[in-house]
Amino acid sequence: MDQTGENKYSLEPAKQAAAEAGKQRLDKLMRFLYTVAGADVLVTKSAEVGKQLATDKATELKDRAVAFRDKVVEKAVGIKNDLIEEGNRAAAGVAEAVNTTAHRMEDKATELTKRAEISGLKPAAWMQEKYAQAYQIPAKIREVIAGRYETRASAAELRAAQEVQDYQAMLKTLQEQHAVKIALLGEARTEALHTAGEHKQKAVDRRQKAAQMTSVKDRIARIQATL
Amino acid sequence: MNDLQSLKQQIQETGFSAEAKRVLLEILDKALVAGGKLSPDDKKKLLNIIQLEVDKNEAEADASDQVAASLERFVQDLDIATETAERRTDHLSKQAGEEAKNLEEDINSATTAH
Repeated sequence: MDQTGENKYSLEPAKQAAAEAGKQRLDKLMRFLYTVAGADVLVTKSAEVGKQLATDKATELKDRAVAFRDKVVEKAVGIKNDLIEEGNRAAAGVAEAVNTTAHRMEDKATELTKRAEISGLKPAAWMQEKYAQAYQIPAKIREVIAGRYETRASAAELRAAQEVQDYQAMLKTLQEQHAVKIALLGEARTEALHTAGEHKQKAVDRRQKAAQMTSVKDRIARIQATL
Repeated sequence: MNDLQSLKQQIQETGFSAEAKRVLLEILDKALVAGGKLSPDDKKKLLNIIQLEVDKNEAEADASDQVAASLERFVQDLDIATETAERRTDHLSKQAGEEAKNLEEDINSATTAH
């Protein structure tokens, strides 16, 4: 810290940049389906050809355009579904790990409280920390987990649409659903980085305290006890 | 006497919990009243309480490090998934762009031929 109380060596700007970069990449992916939806233009264009020419060639072009659109959109939907599922899996993993740590800490607290009582401390006054609250899953990660059982968005439903307008309306709904989930992953990522930083700082503070206490203990150990 | 007084000061300035601090200072006050004599039992009690506080702080530090590592792993896993999605998206974009161009050319030539 300098005289103004500002930490010159803070990692905050770097952390913010990392959080921002991750968010931008997710935003880019969120927009992607709108781009491939341009394949619709070809479907409309080929349908126009069909109106002008009642030939096998026109039918073939329309079929090709529809197949092309469906294939591209199906792949794009698949990419987003996979990303969301990977995010859900990662969220479930972190939740399990945080819960395990909180339970382990509660067990440790029980053991320490017994020792505190033996040492003449009032256990309730000494152990005030509630570890289930101190080590809990961040809210946005909990939200990701809560929504993970929703049905995987399917491109097959889109394929069943008969009219271009229906198709576009369904695609829009699907994109909106994906956008909400991907945005939530971005928010969970930002929150995770922030909370990880807080826990790292807490670990440093606790270790500093433990070192100071050890030096007090060493000093007492050198005192000559007398009856 | 002075040594115990300065020890009391050090305890007050160290981040002990309120309850531990209360008992530690109580024991030292008792020793000061006894003319600066600290009994072996009280010395043991002081050392035990401090060790207890050290263990508590170290356990909290370990738990915080574990939670931080879990959260960072989540970010890392999400970044890997994002990278994969980006790579697949770029590949699909390129592939679809070429296919769309061919299809558009065929549609245009069918219209022109007519």
